[in-house]
Amino acid sequence: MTKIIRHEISGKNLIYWLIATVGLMFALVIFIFIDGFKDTKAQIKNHKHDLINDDISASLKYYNESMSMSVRLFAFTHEEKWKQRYLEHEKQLSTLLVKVEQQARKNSNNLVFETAALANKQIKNTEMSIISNAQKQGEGVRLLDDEYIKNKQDYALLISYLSDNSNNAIRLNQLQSQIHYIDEILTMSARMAAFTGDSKWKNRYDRMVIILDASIAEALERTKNENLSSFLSEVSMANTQLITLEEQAFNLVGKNKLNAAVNLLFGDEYQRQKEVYAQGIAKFSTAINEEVNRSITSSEQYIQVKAIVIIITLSIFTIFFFYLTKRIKNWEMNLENRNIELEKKKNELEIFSYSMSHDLKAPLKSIQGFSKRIDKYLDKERFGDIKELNSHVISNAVKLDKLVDDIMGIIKAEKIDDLVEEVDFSLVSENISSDISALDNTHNVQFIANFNHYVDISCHRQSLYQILTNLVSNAVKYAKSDINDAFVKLETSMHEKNVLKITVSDNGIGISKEVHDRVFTMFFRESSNISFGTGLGLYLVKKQIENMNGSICFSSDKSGTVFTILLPILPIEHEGKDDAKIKG
Amino acid sequence: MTKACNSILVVDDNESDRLLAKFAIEDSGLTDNVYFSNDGKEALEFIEDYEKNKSAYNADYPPTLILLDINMPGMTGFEFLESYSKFNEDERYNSVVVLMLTSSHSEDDMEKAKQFKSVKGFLTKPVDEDNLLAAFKEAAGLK
Repeated sequence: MTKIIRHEISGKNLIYWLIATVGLMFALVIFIFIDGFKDTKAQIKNHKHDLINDDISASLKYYNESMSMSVRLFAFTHEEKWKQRYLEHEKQLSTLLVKVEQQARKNSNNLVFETAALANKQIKNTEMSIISNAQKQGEGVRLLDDEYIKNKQDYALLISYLSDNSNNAIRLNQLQSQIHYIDEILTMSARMAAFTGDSKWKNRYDRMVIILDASIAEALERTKNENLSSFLSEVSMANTQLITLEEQAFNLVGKNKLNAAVNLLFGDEYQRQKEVYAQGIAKFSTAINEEVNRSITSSEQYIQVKAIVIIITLSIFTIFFFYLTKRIKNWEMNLENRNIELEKKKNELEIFSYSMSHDLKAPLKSIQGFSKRIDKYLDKERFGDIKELNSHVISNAVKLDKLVDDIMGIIKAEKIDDLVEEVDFSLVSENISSDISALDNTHNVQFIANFNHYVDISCHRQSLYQILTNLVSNAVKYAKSDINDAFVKLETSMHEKNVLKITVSDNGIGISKEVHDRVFTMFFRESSNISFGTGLGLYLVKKQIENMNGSICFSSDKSGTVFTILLPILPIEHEGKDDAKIKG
Repeated sequence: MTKACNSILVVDDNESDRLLAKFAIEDSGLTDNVYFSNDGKEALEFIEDYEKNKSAYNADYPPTLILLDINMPGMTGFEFLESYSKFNEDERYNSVVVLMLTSSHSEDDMEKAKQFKSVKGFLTKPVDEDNLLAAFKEAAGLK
């Protein structure tokens, strides 16, 4: 028994483990899914962002070029269609610029955008003066000079700065080439200003300084690597020095000291700063490339490690799952074997108890036979004392016989078969009547049977007979001895369809309240003074009723006891039947 | 007074049962001639002896009623019946009634007993005196 309980507990644990494993596997799969979904979502978002940027940037290039060419063609031909085309594309460009502006504001690149807008305005002014027929045919072409082209280039550069890339490393690389490129423009613009004294170079310089500053600032912000920051700082410092020198040169140009300006911009100091700047950019470029490679390698490694961890974990879970399933199967098999064993033991015990009771019966019958014989042979006058003693032997043998009968009844009740037979209630009541007449103190107890179920009934006839005999004889045994109208009533009625209600009521001594909950327990006796039976009768009654899927309850006080039985039956449709038997 | 049976043979290894059977038969007044055997072998010897020395016995006929226990040491009830069947050729044995005593309602025993036409009844042990008497009377054609 202990072993079985231990097995049950370990089996329960196994099931908990299995649930936990399946739960963890499920959680892991959900995690992988959510993680992958998040990654994919981020990637899609970046792709979308990059795609929009690429699209805007390509459209800008297209409209820039198409407008420029439309203007040229209009300047040459004065054909209306070029004008129309220009105006149409100009409108579309404005719409695009609104988007670029939004983007710029989001990235805090307002200054760069404004510079670009300004450059665009200059370009547009030139173009509009051509479009609005201000010049004669062919004359307008003069306006599309070198400055116009430079403006166009600067505008393109500014706009391309504004279209960033979601990938940090790629954007840094972009910024790095821009810083390198713009520095060259600045140097050359300053030098041209020094040589020519023309203010347009100063204009260009000013415009480009803005984009350079923005680029360096953004690059500094984007670098998390200390190495990169230090290289950028070198570049930034050299840049400041260069810009100071260039500003000085512009001042000199302003004062018309062109030679001094040229000397400054070709001087040793300027050259030295240029080299520092160039070296810084070179180092920065190399470092960025390394960073890009490292970032690619590390994301590859991250993906690999993640995949390995997931595969190993899932494998472990799967192995554990199968292991647990196998253990549970074994446990179930063990349990089943134990159940079979237990069933076998139970059967053995039943057979043993039956044989035991049966073997007790034989010598008991002999004792009863011989003691009755002795009683018959003994002369009452001469052997009164011995006869008295012998009567105790007889009554004890009868008690023991009843006990063995009850025990055998319990064993038989355990193995109730499916045999159901039609019950003849009048015969039942006749038999009960005859059984109780054999009891000692029945002379003053009236047995009344009243059957009102109006259908013929099939059920376990033998069990029903034993149940009713037990209850009725109990009522007779515990009848009040000091009254003249002692009775026991056996009544039936249909409780509901296919359920028979049987009541056995009496006006006997009743069952005291304190023992109501123990009435149906094995070997129950209210008190040894007023007890006649083996203590197995009501236990057997309940067992038999339960085996027939019925129920029994009772109510009892000093005025008597009522037992109520509800019994599922198979009714056989029949005409009404009313039977009453009275025994005095 | 003519008795219902000329003689009864009780074959049982249990002495108490033999004695109780004797009391019951005496009380019933079925016969004055009751013979007892401890097992099948003894019963067979008794019948052979009876055939040889009829004059020594009070009755002309062999026992017309046999109360036969099944489970006995030496020779069982069924083994006895097999050997006993040779007497069936003698018409005097045609009217012999055998009542068998079993310790339980064994289907196998009942089936086996059907082979012997002299077996007319079964009694389940332990048998009380009243039931035994009723069975005897029925076998003797009194009931």
